[in-house]
Amino acid sequence: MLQEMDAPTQLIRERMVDFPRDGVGRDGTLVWLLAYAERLLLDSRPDAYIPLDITTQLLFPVDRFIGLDLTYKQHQKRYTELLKSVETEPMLRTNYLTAYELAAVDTGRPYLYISTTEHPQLTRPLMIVPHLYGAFLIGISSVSYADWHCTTRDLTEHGHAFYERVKQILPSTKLGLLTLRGTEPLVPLVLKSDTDDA
Amino acid sequence: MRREACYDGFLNPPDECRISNEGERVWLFVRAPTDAVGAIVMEPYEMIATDRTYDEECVAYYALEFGLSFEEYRREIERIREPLFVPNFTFRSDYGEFYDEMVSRPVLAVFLMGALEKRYHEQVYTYDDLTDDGKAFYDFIKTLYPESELYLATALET
Repeated sequence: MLQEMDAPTQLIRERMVDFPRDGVGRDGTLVWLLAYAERLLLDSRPDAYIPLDITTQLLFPVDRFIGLDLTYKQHQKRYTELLKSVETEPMLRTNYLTAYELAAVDTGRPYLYISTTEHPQLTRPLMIVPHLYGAFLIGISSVSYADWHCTTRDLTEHGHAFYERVKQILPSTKLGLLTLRGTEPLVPLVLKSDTDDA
Repeated sequence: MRREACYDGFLNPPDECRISNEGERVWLFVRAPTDAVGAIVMEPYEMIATDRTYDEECVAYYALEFGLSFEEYRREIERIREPLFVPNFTFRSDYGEFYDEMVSRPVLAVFLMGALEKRYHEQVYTYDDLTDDGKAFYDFIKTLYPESELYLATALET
């Protein structure tokens, strides 16, 4: 459906992300600009006035995760360590995570971690991105890329301008660029009519 | 007197007379033009209504006062909010219970437009209750996502 819509031009008017030229698959790629409430991430000023419930969160299955610019370096380092430690192929299975996913979880806090929230139609665990003032879908591509995740270097002039603008709206905003696999919704929306209760 | 006024963000309340000590939060939701892309997020906690649904929700509330059953009222609110929010059968706790809040249909963006320590607005925030910068940001977002619908959701901090 998304391909039929010519998604990038119809969903987002300005091109904000320079995707790589060559794709390697047809899974598709999403880039989200995340605006974290940094005070809540750090919890370093417990006496500071912070309005309650001023944040939201994103949830998505762990196998959609490609990278977060804030943690990517540590993520890759940890991934390499895990691969060396088991001397096996990248799809090492731990309890329920691949080595790539486990490395992401090991290095994700406080920006993202495995949630206890479940989805009735998904078997993979959900990752949670907490403490967000907000999130903006700024890039969508119908192809996927090898060894690529979005950083500020991949933003266009429009992307940079928007990035700087979002940073200045609310206090202690820390921005992140989240790259996900696939173009479908982060989780399937389940309607009452889809359940046995309907 | 407001503390940490910088959380006001883009909000320009109708006047400086506070209505109660409940704080206010206003969220911008960008409803995707298709259910095939976007994020599903929880409805803001203690949401009053959105700018696009407030009038209809008031009518339902008055009907409740004049004899509509609570179950009928609840169904009416679900119907009114259905373009953006639906009952939650998407996220559940590890105990197997679905959270009470509604969830959004897929959105391309969600953003806190501001939070105030007191309640200053008797109704819900609309475009007219944003600062000039807020209106400019709203207009930019509307242009950025051309096929999408924008909603301002007002919630209380209780």
